[in-house]
Amino acid sequence: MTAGIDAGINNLKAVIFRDQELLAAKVVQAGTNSVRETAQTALDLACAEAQVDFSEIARVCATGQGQGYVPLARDQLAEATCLARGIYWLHPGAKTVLDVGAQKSLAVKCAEGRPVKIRANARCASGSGRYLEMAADVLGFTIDELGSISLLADEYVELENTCTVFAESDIITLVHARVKPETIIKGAHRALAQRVYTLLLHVDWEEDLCLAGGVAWNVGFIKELTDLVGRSPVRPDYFEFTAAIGAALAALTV
Amino acid sequence: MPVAGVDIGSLSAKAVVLENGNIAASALIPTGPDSEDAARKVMDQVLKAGVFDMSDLDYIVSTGYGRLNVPFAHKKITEISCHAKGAAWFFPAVRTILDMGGQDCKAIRCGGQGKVTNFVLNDKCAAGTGRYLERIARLLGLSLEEIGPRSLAPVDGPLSIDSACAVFAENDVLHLLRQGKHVNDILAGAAEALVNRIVSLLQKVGFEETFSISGGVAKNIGIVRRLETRLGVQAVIAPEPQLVGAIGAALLARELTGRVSR
Repeated sequence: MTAGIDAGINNLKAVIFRDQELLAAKVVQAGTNSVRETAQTALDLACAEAQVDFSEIARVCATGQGQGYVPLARDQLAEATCLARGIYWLHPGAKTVLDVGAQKSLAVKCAEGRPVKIRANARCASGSGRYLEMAADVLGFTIDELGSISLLADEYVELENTCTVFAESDIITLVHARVKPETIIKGAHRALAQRVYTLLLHVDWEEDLCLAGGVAWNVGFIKELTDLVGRSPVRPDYFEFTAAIGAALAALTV
Repeated sequence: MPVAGVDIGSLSAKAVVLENGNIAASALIPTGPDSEDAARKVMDQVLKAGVFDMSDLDYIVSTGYGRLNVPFAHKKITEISCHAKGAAWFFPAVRTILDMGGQDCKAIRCGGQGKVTNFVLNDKCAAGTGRYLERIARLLGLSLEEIGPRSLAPVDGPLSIDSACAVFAENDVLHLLRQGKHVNDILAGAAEALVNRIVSLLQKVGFEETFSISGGVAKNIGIVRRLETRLGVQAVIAPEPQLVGAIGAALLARELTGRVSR
């Protein structure tokens, strides 16, 4: 058996595989615990779900931004490698995977489980879930509500500033100007979708386009992205575990 | 006849009345959400301070990002021109000006009499503006006045803050705090990161002495000292660095009335 860990900024994902079979998938909020502790918690939960003993796991592979802080992992693998591998298992027809996470976004064009073209943005918050968290905070909603509120709007405002900090001020100004919250929220989703769409353009994306990463839970984001790419992207079951699955599968062969 | 300059910045609104070549009155208030309202308030305040009436003023120039929302202004002029004009009034030899506030960072090159020859502007990314330090100060529970001196008094040396994004830098700061690092060392690291970004902007515009700093950041001794060290020059700073744009606007107002009396 192998395990894959995707140590994200907000959530840590752990999966257990027996050969090509997914036995368990668990997600644990990162919170204020160390990545090491969170990884242990997630693996323990996954073991319990799979009804296996931790000692039965031959190898653990880690990926994600906190991959260097998981001592129980023997190997660390690049996120793009894991995403390509994971999405091939989840949806073999995938040609492109778009991972929008809490602090980065990554577009990977892939061929049979291998990355062929990669474009990432991990430097600027405006291309990640963090941007939407800002919008939710400043408008007084939870991040989970944001997507469905966005669907209520018929039109969106163009948020001029890219920078998350400046966009926050823009949103405050819009609120004072009595622009409806749903119109602003749709604008925020639109802006994020446009930025990740440019990543897709850079990798010469092709269908099937699959989504990975926590932001893909957000229906408002999916709506705006669909508008830009022309067709609904595929969001497989276990999509948020794509990188963790790829890590566990890689652990079978490394 | 007196003239006025009104500078509506993102965070503070400034107004200056100029009479017989002297600053007769000045005012500075927070801009708040409504820049037109702020423009009226800061104007009221400066008129009251100088015991003027609106009808006494011959000409009013507005500047700053909210300059279009000053209904009583006769002319709107960009803050680039106003800052250069204002800085050259205080320091005739000035050739490079850094104006940095909460919303943007400008590097301006000028010739004699504050005539602008080149400028580079960052208003796209908060990490290259005063906002970067404001957010870090708020996160640390410190006032803006405190952070400059503290950044110059590191305990174990400056810590590096790698994130080039103001939002992500906050995570870096929280991470360092959790590791028990000293606040002064964090502030020193933040100041150095910002200074690196400022220096590259100044190099882009073609740095030349005399060098003047205006805007809110001129009050941050940690940034000023570091810039001086990095550039190997002494910076000249007006007595009220946040008023330089408004003073420049007032000087341009005086020129526009055709009553220049230098």
